[in-house]
Amino acid sequence: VFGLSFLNLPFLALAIALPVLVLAYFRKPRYKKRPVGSLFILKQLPESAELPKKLHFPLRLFLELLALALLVFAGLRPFFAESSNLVAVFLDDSMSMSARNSSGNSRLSELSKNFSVDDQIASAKFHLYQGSGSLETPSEELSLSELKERIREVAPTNFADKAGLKASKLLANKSYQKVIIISDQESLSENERLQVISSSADSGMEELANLYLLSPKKSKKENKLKISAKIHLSQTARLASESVSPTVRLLAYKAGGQTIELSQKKVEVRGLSEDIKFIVASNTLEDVDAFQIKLEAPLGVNSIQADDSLWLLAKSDTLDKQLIVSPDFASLKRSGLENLKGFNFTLLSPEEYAGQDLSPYSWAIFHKFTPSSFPAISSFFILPPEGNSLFPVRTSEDSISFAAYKASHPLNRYLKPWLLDGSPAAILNPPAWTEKTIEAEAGPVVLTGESGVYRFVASGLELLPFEGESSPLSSVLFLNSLAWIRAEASINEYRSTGSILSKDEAPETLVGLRGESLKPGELIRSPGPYSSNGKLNFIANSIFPSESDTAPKKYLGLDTSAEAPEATKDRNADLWRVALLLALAVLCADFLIRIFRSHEPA
Amino acid sequence: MEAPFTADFFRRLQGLKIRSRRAFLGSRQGGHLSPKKGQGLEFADYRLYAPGDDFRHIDWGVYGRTDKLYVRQFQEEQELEISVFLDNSLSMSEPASKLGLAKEVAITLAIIGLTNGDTVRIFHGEQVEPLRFSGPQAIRRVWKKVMALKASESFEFSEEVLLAAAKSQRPGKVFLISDFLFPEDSCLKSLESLAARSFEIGLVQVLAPEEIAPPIEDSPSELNDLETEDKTVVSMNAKHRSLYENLLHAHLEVIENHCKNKGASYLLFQSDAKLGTEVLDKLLEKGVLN
Repeated sequence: VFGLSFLNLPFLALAIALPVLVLAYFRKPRYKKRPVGSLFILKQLPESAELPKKLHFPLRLFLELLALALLVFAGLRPFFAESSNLVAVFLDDSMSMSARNSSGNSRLSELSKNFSVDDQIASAKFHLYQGSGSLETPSEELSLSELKERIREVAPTNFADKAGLKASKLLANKSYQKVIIISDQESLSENERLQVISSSADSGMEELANLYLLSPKKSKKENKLKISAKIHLSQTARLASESVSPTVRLLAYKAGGQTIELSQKKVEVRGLSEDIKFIVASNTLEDVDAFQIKLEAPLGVNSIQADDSLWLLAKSDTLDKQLIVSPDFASLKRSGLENLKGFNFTLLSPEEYAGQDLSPYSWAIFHKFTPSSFPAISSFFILPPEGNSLFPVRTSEDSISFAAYKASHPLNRYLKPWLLDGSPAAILNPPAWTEKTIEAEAGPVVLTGESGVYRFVASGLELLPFEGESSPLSSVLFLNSLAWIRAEASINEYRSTGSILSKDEAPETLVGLRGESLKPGELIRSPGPYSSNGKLNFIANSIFPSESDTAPKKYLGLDTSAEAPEATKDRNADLWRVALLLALAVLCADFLIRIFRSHEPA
Repeated sequence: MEAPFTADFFRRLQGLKIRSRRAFLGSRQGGHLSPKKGQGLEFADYRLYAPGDDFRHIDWGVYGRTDKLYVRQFQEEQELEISVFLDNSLSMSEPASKLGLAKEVAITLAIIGLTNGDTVRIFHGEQVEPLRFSGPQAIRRVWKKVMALKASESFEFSEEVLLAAAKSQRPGKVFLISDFLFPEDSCLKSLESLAARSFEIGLVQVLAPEEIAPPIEDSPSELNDLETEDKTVVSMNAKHRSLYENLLHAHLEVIENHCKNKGASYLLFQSDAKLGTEVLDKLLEKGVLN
């Protein structure tokens, strides 16, 4: 209204005080009641019963309501969204944008070609933001032709994109006349200030692109080494009944960065998944530190390229112990959890956990027990809603509510939430808002969901022993989760990490395949081998849960953490002060009227 | 006894007496001149000697001048009957200081009377028959009984006065202690009835400061009469206060005029007045005490 926008919209809730004030006014006794000894003289005075009703009440009530309304207005921090000639263009340059169609054009280039703007803003100046960059530093002001030129130069990179969240932050920035999003994410809905240029129309490209490589295994067979993995197809690709024939290559990685191709084969993926196996002679593997399995789909349809490459460590890992902390540790012991094949569990009670050295463990499970702080190692929380201070959950009565899941997501393929028959769905890829609670990619796997205005995380999985076919479904889910965490733990001498990273104590700086250095505790985003002091430490198989994560459209424009730029605030800095001063003036007037009335003649 | 009935206060009361302008018949000897002739110090009259008269009363000087025997007659000194009507109706309880001062004035008058050998009767709303006291030994009892009096719902002050006046057999000094915030007619009737029975009247009016000068209020108040449970809404602004003061002044003037006409003493006290100083001084000044 009148070009006004508000920085502090939740303050509007205080407006509820307005009807409360009116109600209080009506409920208030009209007169002070006072006992007197005798009314003999007082009764001879003119009675004042009608006086306040007719004159006093409306004016003072009106003034007080006005003052309150002005206070609420001031609290809303109003400002005039001045008409700006600036347009923000957000370019999603995540890996998924590198998917290619039958013509060999990447999604990014297709979208760039489709990029057009209304005549109204054709002459505007543009700020280009890239998903891989920061929102704090836009590009310099560009003309439309410069912008198109710049977009053509952009190449997809590997990062956790969170395009939806970033778009919502840009939308909250009122200094932009318009925000244009170029992305392959479907859930970004347009509004009057938002224009989405997405690839949703390009159906031939989108779904075939989801090919994943999972479950790497390595086993020795006589003098040969068997390396196997699974290729998964997206659900839509399956429905299309089209077989896909990617090329899979096996590469050996040697210290110093030398990579030798050991084998390659074309695999026809007919169903949901397809096994691939490579058998190589052991004598050819001297000095090999790691193996890389690479997936190259025909026509270049792999969209999530980070998932198309898996690494296996050639050397054994000493950190192969897992910790379970549970108040039920005794019954878990009795159930034989410690003997579960492929795991090396240590069961501890919460009391025993206090002061425990976590360095011997590769990861930990916290069952029905919330540690006072996030543990230093990758952790899986299976927590009851009660007393759960790490993850706020709704109420103890709430059943697990799985909001949605992407069946095609690699993590969900492992977890198989659809096995939980009867449960609606699960998001097992933490959405952007959980980042405030937990650094999801740093280790913990959380269950998340939304219901009404509530969001919850890490609730409800039961830790039950696997009992073969009679296992409760939830325990199947649990075991699948474990499998994902371990990324095929049944091969003892190898460890691949999934996205459970930065778990080693190594205080030294780690160096990646491409020579990128990582400080201790820093998140690893690029897959591949990492070494410190020239010695190979571990392999990171990055599966970015957030790569496929889309911010639901309801997040757009609702992200209160997004602050309008300082410039906008400064321009209107005085508006709330004016409202506050007016409110004070009205209150003063109200007070003066009160004083005046006490002396006015009847 | 507690303040204000302190030792200093009692020292001030020494030698004070309730003054009556007329002589009243008493039932026993006391400190006030009575119309009855007999033993006494105050010369009253001569009469012719009759056999049996005491020779000591023959005035030999008159005999020398007239050759007739006359005996001197004296006015007998008898006790005075003091009646105190203490208004302890609910109207005196708001504010409580009104009834407080009224009780203190009643006790003071009773103490002075009892000290001088008078009989004191105290009428109040809690029982039909008055409290009756005589002799200095009754002082503590008076204090206890009167101080224990509470505001009474059923006390109709004017009617009680009329009733008591009708029943009285022997006139004396009577004190009416009230706020007199009721119609002047009732007050006049009480005064007339007592005057007709030859009572010598003292009217003590006790009003609270806020009744004399009500504070100005910024908003109207609903005022609730404790006694009648009547209600009225009054906006005590400057104009209304002025009007109130005029009305009160007129009312007080009417009462004072009635008192003058009936030969009664009229005293107005503010309920926050100090008993030992302001009240006593005024009682002396108005000739109620001497």
